[in-house]
Amino acid sequence: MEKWQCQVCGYVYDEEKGDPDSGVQPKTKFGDLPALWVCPQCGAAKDQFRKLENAKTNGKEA
Amino acid sequence: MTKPEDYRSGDPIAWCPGCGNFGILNAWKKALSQLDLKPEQILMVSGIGQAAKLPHYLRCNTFNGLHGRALPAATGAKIANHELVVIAEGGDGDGYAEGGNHFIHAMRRNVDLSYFVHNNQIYGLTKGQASPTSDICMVTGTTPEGNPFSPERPLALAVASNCSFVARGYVGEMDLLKDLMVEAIKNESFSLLEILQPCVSFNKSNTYDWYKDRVYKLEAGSYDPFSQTAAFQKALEWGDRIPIGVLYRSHRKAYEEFAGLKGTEPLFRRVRKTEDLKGLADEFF
Repeated sequence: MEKWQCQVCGYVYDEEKGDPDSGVQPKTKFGDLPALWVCPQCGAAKDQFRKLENAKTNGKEA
Repeated sequence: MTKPEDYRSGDPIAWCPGCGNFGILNAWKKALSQLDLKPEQILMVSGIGQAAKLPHYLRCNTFNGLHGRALPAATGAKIANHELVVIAEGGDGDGYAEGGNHFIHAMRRNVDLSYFVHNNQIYGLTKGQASPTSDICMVTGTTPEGNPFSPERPLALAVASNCSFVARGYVGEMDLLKDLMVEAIKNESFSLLEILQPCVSFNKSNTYDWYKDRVYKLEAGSYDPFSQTAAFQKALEWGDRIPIGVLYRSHRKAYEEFAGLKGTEPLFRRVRKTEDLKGLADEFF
């Protein structure tokens, strides 16, 4: 399972957890997110996300 | 039990991608769901601004009025129907400039409202003019050589006014923000919740990275929000370190308690026949 980080606000999309508040089930692959899905914290589009290579993000645990 | 998606409205969202308002909206849906409030139990009142658009994006009762005038409309609505959960929502310009006078007197009157102020330190809707909370020397459309004015410290004003609940959240800490929203609504007097919110389009100074390096949480065990002196110091803290959490609480009777409104039939539901008013009319004519 991968983690993807919003380059605008730092929010991390964790495939393990999904984004249930936006109707995205746990274990949903980042690539399978709906085209209109946006960052729940800042509204940035999917193309603003980068895959995290390890579990550390901006000095915080993801 | 209500779910966050129960509060989703059908209106298309007209905020810039990257705007902190998205996180505030999502925190709202979670908070309302946790409180298990039905959309028809809630009234959201706003004035003008990017933040004031938020009620359009939530499914509940809404009233979108004049610039800076959310609080008087919210106060009137609450007095007419004290069974409603009434929330006024707006930005730093709307609330602290145009609505500054109402802000002070709403805290003094202490009606059971929650006032949520999205503070992005800029006028976003009108595309980037200095607001009452813009930092000194900040370059904006109206201050091209740097803002010459000292920023307002609204939370210090609130603590000095003995506001019954004073808190600050940050959109980058969404779980805490949701908890603060819940606490503000549960408080049975006037509650102020300021929400720090980056504006990626027009405020290039106070960015997500800028906040990330500065905000810190007030811990419940080591900080006593009932001390007005300590709260005043925290409310003035800004710059290298910015506290978030509940800064101040006071035990104040709400207006509704003074007026004996609690447990009574809401004003809007009371039926008055013309003959009931005859005696009163006779006194005047």
